[in-house]
Amino acid sequence: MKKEHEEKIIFFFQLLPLIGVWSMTLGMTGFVIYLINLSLQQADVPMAGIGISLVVVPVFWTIAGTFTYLFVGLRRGRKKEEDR
Amino acid sequence: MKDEHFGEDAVVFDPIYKSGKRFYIVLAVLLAIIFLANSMYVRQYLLGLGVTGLNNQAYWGIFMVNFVFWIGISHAGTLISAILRLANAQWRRPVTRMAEVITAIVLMIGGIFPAIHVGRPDRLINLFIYGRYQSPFLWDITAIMTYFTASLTYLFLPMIPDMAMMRDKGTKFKWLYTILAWGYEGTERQKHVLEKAISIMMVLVIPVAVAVHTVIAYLFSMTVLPAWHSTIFGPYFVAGAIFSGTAALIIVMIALRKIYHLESYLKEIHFKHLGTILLIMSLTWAYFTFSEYLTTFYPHEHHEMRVFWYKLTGEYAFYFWGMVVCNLVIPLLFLSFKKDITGVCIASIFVVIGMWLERLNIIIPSLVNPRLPYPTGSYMPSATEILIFVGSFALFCLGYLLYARFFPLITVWEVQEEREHGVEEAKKQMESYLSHPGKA
Repeated sequence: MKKEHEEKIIFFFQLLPLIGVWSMTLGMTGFVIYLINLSLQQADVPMAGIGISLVVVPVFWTIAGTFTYLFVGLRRGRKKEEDR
Repeated sequence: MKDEHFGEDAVVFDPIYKSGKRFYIVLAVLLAIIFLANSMYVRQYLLGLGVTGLNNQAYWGIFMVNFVFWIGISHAGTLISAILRLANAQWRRPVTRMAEVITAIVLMIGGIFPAIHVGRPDRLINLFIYGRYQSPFLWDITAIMTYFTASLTYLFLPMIPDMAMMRDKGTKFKWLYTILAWGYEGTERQKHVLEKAISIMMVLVIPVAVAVHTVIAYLFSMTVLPAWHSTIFGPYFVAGAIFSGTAALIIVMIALRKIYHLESYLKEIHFKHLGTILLIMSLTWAYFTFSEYLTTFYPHEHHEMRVFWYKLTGEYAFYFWGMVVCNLVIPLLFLSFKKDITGVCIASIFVVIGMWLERLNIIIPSLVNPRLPYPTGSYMPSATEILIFVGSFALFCLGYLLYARFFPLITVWEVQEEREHGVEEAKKQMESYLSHPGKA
């Protein structure tokens, strides 16, 4: 019971970097969209924001995707209980 | 000496498991310097930017010089490490971790400087609420955040197998290593997943690193200030960043080699290879500098020439020629004729100084010689700016000291892998190059 509880706590902390990366990704995506929207509202020029979003958003999503792939891949690739 | 868990690599883990009194003494000294620098900043915050040497004309001083300098140093890590990995340079293995750590630390330090530079940091929030992407300043923030996230990820991924090794040893900080190991047990599937993730990041991080320093160059070249409005600034800054980054990496490696007794990992051959890269970058930097100044001189545009002569024969001549000596003459002499560890170390120290002077030469002369009909201004950094600058170096050393206290400075699993398969792989690679007439 105690071991299970410990494992849950460790899993929670292991999730934190993943949550951090996704927060950054969603935060940056939201920020870029917000600034494009702001420039449209104020009849400003949205092209700079759109140009930057074309670079930044895919980079962040690739980082987050790679991180998630690794996290899931490492968990699935663990030794089976009987092999330990 | 062999250890049950780490085998012959036990020495790499010594800073973690066997820290002595020396660690705490160095920690105290660094904290004292940082505290002093921080006090100077608090004073600047309370009294305003009047305590700095900044004035109406020189509205960017050594805070911005440091910003560009530190971000340039950050290229030491992720970019060099990624290029070496991508090129499959076998000698890279003991070098990459140290390089990646530099990036993570100096990006944080560099990123602080624009905030220190503004008189009202509390108003920085307005940049996020009312930001306009037409401003290169916002491009910078976006690029640095992207590079920082990519670099941290790229630092973390190859650390996972080492964390698992330390978790399995099961003594100090076991909980920390269990968390950071992400359940890694070294199964074939896990190795495959990890290698794939590292490969993706390795490819991704190179354009991101190039973009960051190009964007920092745009901070200058998008304006019409004399000697800033230059199309060559993007690649010039990237080349300068790799140059200063390589030099910083060499200095860090030599220092850590000595302090933590890593002589059996960081051998003379590593410094010879890095020395060659430094020499190539020195020549590349000289080429860009020559192109930059020749294209300024040839059209003889009045305002540009004012800055040109201010640097070459005027008030900044000492810094300009100092930069040339540090970045070209000394590296050329040492790296051509004395490419041992001492020679490479001396050349690297001069390059770091020279690259700082280069940033100074770019920023101040253009500001004090504007296009507007003002007399030439002047700039002298105050004690506040100098102490904050010194504090940033202490912060860098502190970052490294703390990293070495908790994590191995060498990618142990990669070194072990090299020991097991390196010779065989090199032999196979060599055989694939050999020419055998009659065979394809």
